[in-house]
Amino acid sequence: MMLLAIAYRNIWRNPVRSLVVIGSMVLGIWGGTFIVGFFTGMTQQQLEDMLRQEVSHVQMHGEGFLDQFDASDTLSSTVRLDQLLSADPRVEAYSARVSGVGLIASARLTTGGMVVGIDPEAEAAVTQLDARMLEGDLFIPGRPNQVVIGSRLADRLKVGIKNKIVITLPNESGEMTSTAMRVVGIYRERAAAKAGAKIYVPVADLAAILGVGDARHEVAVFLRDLNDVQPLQSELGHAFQQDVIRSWSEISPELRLISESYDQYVLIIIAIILLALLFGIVNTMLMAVLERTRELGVLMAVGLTRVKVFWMILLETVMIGTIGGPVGLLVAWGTIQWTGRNGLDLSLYADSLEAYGLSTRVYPALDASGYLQIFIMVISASLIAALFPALHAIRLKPMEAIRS
Amino acid sequence: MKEHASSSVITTSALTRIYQQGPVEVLAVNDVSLSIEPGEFTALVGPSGSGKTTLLNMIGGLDRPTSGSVSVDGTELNGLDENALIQFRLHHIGFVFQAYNLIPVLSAAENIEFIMLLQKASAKERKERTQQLLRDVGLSNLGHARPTQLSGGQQQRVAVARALASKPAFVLADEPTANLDSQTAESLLDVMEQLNRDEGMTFVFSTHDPRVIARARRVVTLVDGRIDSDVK
Repeated sequence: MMLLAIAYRNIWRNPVRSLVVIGSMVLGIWGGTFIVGFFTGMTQQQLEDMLRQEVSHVQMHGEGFLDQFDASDTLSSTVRLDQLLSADPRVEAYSARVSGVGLIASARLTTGGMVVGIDPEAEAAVTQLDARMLEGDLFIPGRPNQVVIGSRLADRLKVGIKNKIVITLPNESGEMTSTAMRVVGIYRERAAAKAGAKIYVPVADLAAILGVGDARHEVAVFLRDLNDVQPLQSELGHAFQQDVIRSWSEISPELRLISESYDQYVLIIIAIILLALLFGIVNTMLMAVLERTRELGVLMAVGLTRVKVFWMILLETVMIGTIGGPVGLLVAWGTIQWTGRNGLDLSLYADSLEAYGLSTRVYPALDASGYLQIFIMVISASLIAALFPALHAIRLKPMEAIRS
Repeated sequence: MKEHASSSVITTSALTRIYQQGPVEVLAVNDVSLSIEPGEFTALVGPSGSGKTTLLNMIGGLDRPTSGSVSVDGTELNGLDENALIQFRLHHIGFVFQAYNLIPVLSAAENIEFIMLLQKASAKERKERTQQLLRDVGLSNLGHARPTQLSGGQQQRVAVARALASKPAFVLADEPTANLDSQTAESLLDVMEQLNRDEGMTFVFSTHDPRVIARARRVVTLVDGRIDSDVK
C-alpha cells in the first residue's frame, strides 16, 4: 500500500514533467483514436454506400446473362423467387430488374451504357435511388417512354429534363430496337460508379422493348444483417440451380479487400501512435529513475528488495498510463460523438474523394470494443515502457547509487 | 550462512578492499581486523581517503570485501547473496547518511514507518513505535512534515529515528554531522548519545568532526586503509 502511495506521490513530485507526459499521452491517444474513428466511419460509409447504391448483398442473374447480356438469358423463375424473397424475414428489400447493354444517344453524343428496367419503389428500397434524385422524378405515372439518367451522363450527352434520348439495344430475338425516350429525372451519379453509364426506365417498358414479358434478368437483394449473406446465397443456390447467385464479396472483391484490410490499417495507426508514446514514457521514466538514483540506493540500502523497486517503477508508469489513457479516450469519445453527429465536411476535396468512391461528408464512428482495445494497448504500452527504466533501477548497486 | 559464537556485534577479520580505478588498483582498506561490542559509541576517524566510509560500507553490507570477512550480529556477510543482504540490512542494521537521504515524498512519520512496513510489522506496532521514535528524537509535533519542510538537523533526526525503526543491532552513521551547523550537530549528538546510554544502542560513526570524536567513547583512527590507533 505504501509502495502505491510512494509511486503516486513520485508522479507528482515533478508535476510539470508528469503533466507534460500525461498531456502528450492525452493528445496522442485523442488524435490516434479520432483518426481510427474517422477512418472507421469513412470505411463503413464507403462500404455501406457501395453496398447500398451499387452492389447490394446478393445478386442473382439468369445463366449466361453476365457473359453476353443476352436478353433471352432470364432468371429461371421470377415468380417463385418473388414468393421466396418476399416471405424471408432476413430480406430487407429486393429489386427485380430487366437489363440490356446498348447505345444511348442524344443529339450531341452517342455512348455505350446499360439500360435497366426497374420498379421505382422496389429500387428505392434497395438502392435508395429516389434519395439520389437531383432533378425531376423517378418516373411519372402514366407517361410512356420515360428515362432517368445519371448526372455525369447528362453532362456528356448535354441533355436535361424533358430532353429526348434514343436507346438502341438488342431484343430477345437478337434484333436491334431503337426507342426514343424523354428524360424525366437525373440522379446523382457516383464518380467511382463501378459500371459505366447506367440509365433507368420502368421495368414494364423495358420488358416490352426486349420482349421478355414477366421474366427478369437480375434480382438485387439487400439484407438486414451482413451475416445472413452466406446462408441466403447457399439456400438460393439450392433452390435455383440454373441461375447465377453471387454475394457482394464475389461481385466486388475490392469491397471485400477494404473490409478485410480495415482492421490492419487501424492496427498500424494505433501501433505507430503507441510506439511514439512508448518512447515518450521510456524517456520520462528513465529521467525520473536517473534523477532518483541516490534515493533508490537508499531504499535498497535500508531494505527495499529489488522486486519491490521494480514494482514501484512499474506502478508509477502504469499510473501515468491510467491517467493519460482514459482522459485521452474521453476527449476522443467526445470528439467522435460530436463529429459523428454533425459530420465532417470534406467538400474541398470532393473530386479526389469521389474518385475513390468516398463521401464528402464523413461521420466518424468507433464502437465500445474499439475504445477498449485502444485502452488495453495503452496500458500494455505503459507496462512495456516501464520495463527498461525498472530494469535499470534494479541493476543499481546501493552503495554506488548513494554516492552518485 | 556461518555464525560466530562471539559477544561482538561487529567483527572484521583481515578485511581488505581494493578498487580498480582504470589501470590503477587502489587499496582502500588494508587488512583491518576490528571488533565492536554491543553498546559501544565508536568513531572511525582519519583523513579523507583513509578508508573510513569503505570500511563502514563493508560493515553495513553495502560493499563486499576483496578479501577477509565481516561478521555482523553473528552472521558472516560474505555468505549472503544480494537479496539476503537486503533482508539482513533491513532487520539488523540501521543507516544514517551524511545527506540525510529521506524519501522526499513521504512525511517524517511515514519515512520511519516505511522500514517497519517492510518488516511486515502490524499497523498498531508501527504507529506506536513511530510515535515513540519521534518523541525520542524530539520531533513529536513534526511527524506529518515532509523532509523539504524540515531543517537539516530535523531531517537528520528523522534519519536517526528511521535507522532505529527496525530495532537494529547497531546504527552505522556516515559523517552524520557533516552538513549540520555546530548547535544542530551538538543537539543531534545529544539524541544519539542518549539513545546509546538509555537503550544501549550501538553506534559506529565515520567522521571528521571533532565534536563527534570528543563524544565518542572509542576512537579508531585509520590511515591509508589501516588501523593506526584504537583508543577506548
